[in-house]
Amino acid sequence: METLIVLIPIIATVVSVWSAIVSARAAKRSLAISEQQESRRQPLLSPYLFKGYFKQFKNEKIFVFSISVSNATDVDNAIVHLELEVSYVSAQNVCMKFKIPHEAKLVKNLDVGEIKPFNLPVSIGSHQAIAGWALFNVTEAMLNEGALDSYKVILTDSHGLLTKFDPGILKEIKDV
Amino acid sequence: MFDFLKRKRWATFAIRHNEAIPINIIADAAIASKNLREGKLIPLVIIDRSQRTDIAEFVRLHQHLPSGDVECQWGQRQGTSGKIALFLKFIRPSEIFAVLEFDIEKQGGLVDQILRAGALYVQPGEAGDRLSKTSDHPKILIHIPDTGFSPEWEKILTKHLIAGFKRRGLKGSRAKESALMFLNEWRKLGKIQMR
Repeated sequence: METLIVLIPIIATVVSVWSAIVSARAAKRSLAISEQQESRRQPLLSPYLFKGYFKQFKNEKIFVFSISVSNATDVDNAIVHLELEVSYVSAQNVCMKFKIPHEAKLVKNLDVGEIKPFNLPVSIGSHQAIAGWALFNVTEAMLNEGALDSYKVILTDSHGLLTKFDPGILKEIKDV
Repeated sequence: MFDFLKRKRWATFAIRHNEAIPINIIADAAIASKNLREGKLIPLVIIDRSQRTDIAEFVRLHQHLPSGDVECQWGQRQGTSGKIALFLKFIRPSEIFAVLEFDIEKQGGLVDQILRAGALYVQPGEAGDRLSKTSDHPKILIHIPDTGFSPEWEKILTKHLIAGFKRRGLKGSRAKESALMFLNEWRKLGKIQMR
């Protein structure tokens, strides 16, 4: 009888500790779910580069990227600006960066079959994805005998958020 | 000394060290063109290219790119009483920060004209350059929108002019009258428009 009297509070304590642990786990999971839901309400565009090319002309270089952009969030979004950020070292040894806008009309200069350039601004509904081609023209006059270092594609969405990605190694398009 | 200092709002900018130093203004002038800003007289400053080679390169580069974006803010750097600074944050085509600082007493008229024209030309150059010699050199036109600074500037400039006239021997209301008269005459000149 005495043992039972001693055991009852111990059992009660163990049960309450177990119950507290279960509640804490449940609360943690609820918090994680709420945070996940909240993060889906934050605008975010995820770009993916299918292909990247460039074509060298006498005084200019046209860069072409086939990109898909997905919007996995619960918020509608749009691409407002599509730019190429070019890093170069000028003839006077100044490290510089400049952004050039996407120009859909450059497709005429390429003569590479049927490609569909982005027509900005382009909307991307929630849980939707779009695909298109981005075209940029870097002229020799811009670089002025400077050395081209690297480039990044920048998307600016309708919420003013920037998404940058490195297009990696590009293939050259040549007329044969 | 300035009323506006009592209710100023401090701001900090995350910039590179060399960008925080005001760019040396070598000379100033003004240009009026029929097709720009309704023919208003737009001030031009020739800045020292050796101090900021990146700005010189930026101006050169801009000649080959579409018009860019810039954010501007009038203010005062800490510990620089008697001066007004124009903080320029270029966003496109390049991200560059620049500070132009003007001495209110010596360059107040220039600041006043920038505010009235709502624009400013910036041309990199070197010591001794004058617009008459460098008119064909690359320059950029910066839109300076109304940021709500004009009423504050009116008070600052008037106070400075009055203080200046007082230093030259005029007293009380005479100094104030002279300052207002000077300002009116100066602004008549600034109102010149090409038609």
